[in-house]
Parts: sequence; C-alpha cells; structure tokens
Amino acid sequence: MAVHDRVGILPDRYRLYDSHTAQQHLELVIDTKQATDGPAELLSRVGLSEAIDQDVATFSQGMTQRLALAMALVGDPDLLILDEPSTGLDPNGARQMREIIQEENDRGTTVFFSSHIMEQVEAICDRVAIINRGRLVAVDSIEGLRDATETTTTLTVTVSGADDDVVATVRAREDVTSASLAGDEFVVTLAPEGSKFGVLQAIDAAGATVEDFSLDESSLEDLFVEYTTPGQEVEPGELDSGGGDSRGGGPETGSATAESPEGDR
Amino acid sequence: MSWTAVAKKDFRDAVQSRALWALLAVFVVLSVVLSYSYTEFPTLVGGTEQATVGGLVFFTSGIVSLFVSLTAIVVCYKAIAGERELGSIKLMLALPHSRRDVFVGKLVGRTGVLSLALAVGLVVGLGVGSVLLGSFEPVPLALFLVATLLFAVVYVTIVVSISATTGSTSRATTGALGFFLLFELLWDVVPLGIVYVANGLSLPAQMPDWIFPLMQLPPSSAYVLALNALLPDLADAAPGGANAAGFDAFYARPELGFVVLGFWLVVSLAVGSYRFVNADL
Repeated sequence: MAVHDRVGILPDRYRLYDSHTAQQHLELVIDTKQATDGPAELLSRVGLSEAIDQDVATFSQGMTQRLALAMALVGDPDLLILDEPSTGLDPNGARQMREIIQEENDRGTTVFFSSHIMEQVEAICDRVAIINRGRLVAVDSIEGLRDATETTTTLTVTVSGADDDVVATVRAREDVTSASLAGDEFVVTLAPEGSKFGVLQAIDAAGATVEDFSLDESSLEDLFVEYTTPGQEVEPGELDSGGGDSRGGGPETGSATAESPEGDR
Repeated sequence: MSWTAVAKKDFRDAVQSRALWALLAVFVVLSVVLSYSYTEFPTLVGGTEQATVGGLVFFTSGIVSLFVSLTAIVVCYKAIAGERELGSIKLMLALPHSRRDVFVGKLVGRTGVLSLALAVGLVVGLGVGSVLLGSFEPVPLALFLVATLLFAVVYVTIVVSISATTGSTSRATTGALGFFLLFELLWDVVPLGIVYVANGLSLPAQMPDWIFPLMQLPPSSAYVLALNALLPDLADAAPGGANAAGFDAFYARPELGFVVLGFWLVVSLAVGSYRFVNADL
C-alpha cells in the first residue's frame, strides 16, 4: 500500500461513478491518497475545467478519459501506469495526453503505458516492450529493436553527375548492403550500423553532387509486425544488447508496452 | 485503514441516492404499523388477551426479520457485483485500496445504511408501542434492538458476500434470492426430507433430536432463538416466542441462535473475501 500511494493508475475498461461530478471523483482520490491537490487545477491540466460540477453520466468518452487521467495524476505520483490512455480522445486530446506524459516525465515520474498506436509510442517512449499472445517478445529502446531485427535503412539520394564508378565506390563500403542507380535516383541500403552521413560524403568525394536525399527507416509499426508475425520472431537472445542500458540511476524516462491486438489479456 | 474511505463513500452514496431515506421510511412505517396493530388487536395478531411488551417484541420480530432479509437483498446484492459489472471497481482498485479494503468497506457501508434505517424505525415504532401499552421497559427493548441489529449485520454480510463471489449482477441476484428461497421459505421441509431419507424413506414416529439445530439454520430462525436467549422471561410469557426444543441436549438451548448467527457471519465472510480477493477482475 505504501507503494500504491505513489502510483497513479489509469485503468482500461473502467467506468466512472454515475450521478457524481468530476469534482467528487477527484475528491475521492485526493481523500484516499491524502493528497493536497486542488480538483480545479487538476481539471485545467487535462482541459476539463468547465465540467467540474457536471455529472459524469453526461460525459463523452474523451471527457471520461481526461477525468480518469486527472485522477491518476493526483498526489504527484512517482509512477504513472496508463492503460491505453488515448482511448476515445480526439487528436487534440491525444496530443494533450502526450504533453502531460512528457511533463510528468520531465518532473521525474516514470510513465508506463500500453498502446496500440505506434506513432504515439514512437514519439514518447524511451523503452518499448512488445507483447504477442500474452508473451513478452521484446524489451528495448526503439533503436535497439531496429538493430535487433536487422531491418535496414534505405537512403534515397538524388544525385547529378553520378556514374558506375560512383556506384561501385559506394557499393564497396562495408556498411552498404546494396546500391543501385536509376536515372538520378541513387538508392542505397545500409546495414544496421551503417553511417548515412558517410555514404553521402562518399558520393560527394567520388565526384557526384548530392542534390537531395530522403531516409526510410523502419517504423515501430514495421518492427511490431516483425516481432509479432509467426515465423519471423526474433530470437530473444538478440535482444540482450543494450537492453539494460537505460536503466541507470535517476528517474526512468518513460517506457511503454505496445500490445499485439491478438494478445490474450 | 483505507476501508474507512470505501465505507464512507458507500454510505454517502446511499444518502445521496436517497436509498437511505427510502429505507428509513419503510422501517418507520412498518414498525409503527406493527406496534399499532399489536396493541390495538392483541388477540387477533398476538394471540393473547392482554397486550404485553414481550408480545410486542416477538410479534414485531417475526415480521421485521422478513423485512430485514428482503431489504438486505435489495440494498446489497449489487454491492460488489454491480461495481464489477460496470467496471467502476477498477477505479476503486486503482486507488491505494486492497481488495480486502474494498470488501470490508462495502460491508461496513451497507451495514451502516441498513442498520441506521432499522434502528431509527424500531426506536420510533417501539416508542409508539410503549406509549400505546402505557408501560416502558427499556432493557428488553434495548436487547431486542441489539439482537435485530445483529441479525441485520449477519444478513448484510451474507448478501454482500454473495455479491463478492461474482462479477455479474444477474448471478448475484440469483444467488441472493436462491439463498432466501432455500433458507427462509423452503427450509422447513429440508430437515424433514433429510430425516425421511435417513429413516429409509419413511417418517419416524418421533423426530430425532438432531433435527432441532438443523431447523435453526436459517438466519431468521437463529435470530428468534437468540431473542429467546436474551429475553427468556418475555419468551416464556409470549405465545410464539418460546422456541424450546422440548428435550435435553447440550445444543438444545436458545443460545444456539448466537452460534448459528456467528456461523453465517464467519462462513460468508470467509467465502466472500476469498472469492473476491482471488477473482480475476
């Protein structure tokens, strides 16, 4: 219970107490945790100030979620556990949620949340865990996951004045797995540790001019598919690299669980 | 001590939803009507020429026990199952409450609601009765109040515990009504059935002694028996009050009523909290 006092939880598939106001909900939490927060201030943080005296039975899903987040924030917890926090939120609400998570994180709170929305996880999380069918298949930073899956980075460079020699030079580099030129589109795939900047410099040094370039890195979505598609699962042993490095001293800077939809929970 | 927060919220909700006031009205009206009809027509409803305090107590107890059991079911069947079905239990458990806190808090909150309404109702009703009788006997009336409140606590515990065993209110309703049906309405025949089967499918000329404690198993029977233990003088004088076994055995005593009430309290607490603490919510 001593631990529980310092944890804020936003559960999944909960229900608020009908015929109670937002203020009453927050007071319940404040009383229980013996915190000193003011309900009005908490509601303004989640953008629900006008609804302070409103019966929650009339709340939309997004308002419900905002209030539940405010309830989780009571007492300035050291650990926030948020289960699918952006459920029912519109894009503005989702961004506000993200900002609040970041604010809390900056204040030294560890934030642990689960989500199916990969962009969100990618935007805020330092460490990601992937659960597939109730089994933890990966825990690492997004970088670490990229490395472990050996997904490649594709660099598309618009060049002028490139010839076969330039292609050969680039292809000869150790961190390049393939290189091909079609017109002025020069497509280079890099090994996980490859240096994008090195490739660009090499093209330049070989006598061609780099006009523009774009980078296609594997997104968390790709990684997720990689980890959860049968037959493509990465050996757990490969994940050990760099798994524990962000667990140093000081507050952890947020972590997340991205859950596979078919995972049995 | 965080069960106190749960209990407080539960009680406050009952006040806010006016459930408490409705209950209060029910018990006050019931109790006054019972007192009035007994003192007015003692022969008709009590079976004695002269209205007495003992007669009033035992007459009231019979009907109040029925009301207490039914209101306990209405007030408590959703206590935990309802919150589980809706999902609000998750908010409750997201706070620093253990499941045991929630269970105990709900129990205390609902007990508070029912016993407050019952106590006020009885005090008013017995007060009216005393005035109509023209005699005031505080000790037996206070003992009657205590026994009835104990009975209410036991019933609330039984129903809240039934509610704690399931996450569906329809199952909780079935459980609570099933309990009432079996133990309050049909129980008379159950011991008889057991004797019938034990005696080789025929009823013996004389009932075995062990049928007596079995007969007292329903909480309301145990309550009346406990009243006999508390108010032996009144029980002897009041027809329908005496509940003697008519034979000698260590268990053939009215104190058995307390044992049975304690049995229900302990068993339902154990089953309810075990099922709730270990439930997969």
